[in-house]
Amino acid sequence: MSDPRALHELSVAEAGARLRSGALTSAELTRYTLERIAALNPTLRAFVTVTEERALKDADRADHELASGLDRGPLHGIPYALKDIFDTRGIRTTSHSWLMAEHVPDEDAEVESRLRAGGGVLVGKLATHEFALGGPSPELPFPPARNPWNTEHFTGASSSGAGAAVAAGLVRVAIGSDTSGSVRGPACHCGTVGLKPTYGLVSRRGAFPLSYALDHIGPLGWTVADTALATQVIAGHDPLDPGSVRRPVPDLVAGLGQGVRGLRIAYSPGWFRDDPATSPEVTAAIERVLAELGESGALVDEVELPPYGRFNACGRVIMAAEAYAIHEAELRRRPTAYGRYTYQRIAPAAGLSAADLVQALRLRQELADAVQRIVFDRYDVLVTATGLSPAPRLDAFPTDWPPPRELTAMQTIPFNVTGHPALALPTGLSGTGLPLGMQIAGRAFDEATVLRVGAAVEAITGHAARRPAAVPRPA
Amino acid sequence: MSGPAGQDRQDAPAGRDHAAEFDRVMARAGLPVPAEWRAGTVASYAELMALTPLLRMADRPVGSEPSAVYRMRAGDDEGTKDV
Repeated sequence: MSDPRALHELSVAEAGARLRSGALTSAELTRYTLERIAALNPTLRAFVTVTEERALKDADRADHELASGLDRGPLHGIPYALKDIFDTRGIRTTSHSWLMAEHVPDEDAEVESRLRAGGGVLVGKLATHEFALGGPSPELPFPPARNPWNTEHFTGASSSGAGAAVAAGLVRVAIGSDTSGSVRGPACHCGTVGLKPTYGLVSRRGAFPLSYALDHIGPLGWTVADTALATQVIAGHDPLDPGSVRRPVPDLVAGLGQGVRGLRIAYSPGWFRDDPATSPEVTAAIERVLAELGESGALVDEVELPPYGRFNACGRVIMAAEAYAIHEAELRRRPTAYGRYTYQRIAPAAGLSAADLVQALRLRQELADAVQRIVFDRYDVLVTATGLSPAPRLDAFPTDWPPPRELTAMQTIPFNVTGHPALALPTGLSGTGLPLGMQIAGRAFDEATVLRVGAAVEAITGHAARRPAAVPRPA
Repeated sequence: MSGPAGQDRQDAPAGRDHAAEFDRVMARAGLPVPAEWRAGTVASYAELMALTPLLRMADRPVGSEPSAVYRMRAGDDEGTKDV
């Protein structure tokens, strides 16, 4: 019996199997993808640039190579997209800013080099918040991306186009960046999977920096397996990234079906359960999942971590100081070339002192040590919330930054501070039909266990079988 | 260093004139402030400054070094970290 699913509903592995059997060509898959982008992007605004001509050439090349027996790996012939902060040689890379609206890089970012070497087919560049920070501002060169579950709602954080594109089935995988949660926030609000790998596992070279100490590069995918496969392709030592770590990348896919029997899971509800910004639906969904993981043979214990506010202060001060250092000259020279939110978020860091930054860097080490001692010396993974409530409406954002806290309440920054890998994935839908999520963090460089637990959660929730029911067609 | 969520969320010290302080900081830094953006930038400044007390602990040992301190390795030929 033939598979009744549309092509965009196939996973990376399923599409790859068809490409290798000859049942599907990359050219067919890419044309289908480009048609879907053309139909839905006027509503979703996920893409700021579509690379149609190059994509069709790359797809033809992938078909020729696969037919001749050259197999470049799991993404060979598979369409993907990049947040528009990643340099792409000969393709406009704007960081969603008027300041870089005409910027055409001479070289590829390292992740793009790896994806190309792996035979992937780049179909375009994705919306972000300006310089991966700003916010959903109307005055930027491109409008903000919209949430496919309800296009009146926010996508989560700066890898906004990536979240929208994956959730709407425009691509199976997209690459984002995460400095305080910008892979995991969109994954949470758009109901996809998103992985912030361990600091040092994936090269940052060629991604426009926001904060050298906290920037991480990671994929969003519709499933845990798709996310694992994308990570496998982009991970690995880059001698030209001073933060890159020289160590082998383990197989991230082999353990996905192993279940959780015997694993030790720490749970930290103290960060969010009594926070007034937390929706009871978020907590209930996480605790339902944890109960089922327990029934599947995992040991689940509550742990008490250092207060969330310290992680938040530490991360935000480091991020603000480094972003200010990066943008200081342009803020002086042409402040109004920035979006209002971006200016209002970066310029105040002029008031931080040298001692503030040093204290933040001291606290960072102390917090990383505390998480290791309290959690990872005894447990395999740590479960906590991602977003504390479903995605807010876009029109709830005020003209000026900062917005009311409940609009941006994500508990993602602790793992940018500590560098541990952290996976965001859906736990279900709210009563209003918007995604709810949870977060699984792991030991440094143990993405395999994080993804293994994520696959078990995915099997429990069944979320991957759902899709945004009605993405409105363009008027 | 532990406690329930929100326990250590601190407001800025009472009576602190953030607007005047902000104007001095921006003047010293040589940063122009677009008039329409000033109110939000002052609010953002106050929010950022309110975080800085959380970075400090009275009992922090002097040996607690910043995470940015380099740990040089013999034979590290490319200046990157081995783990």
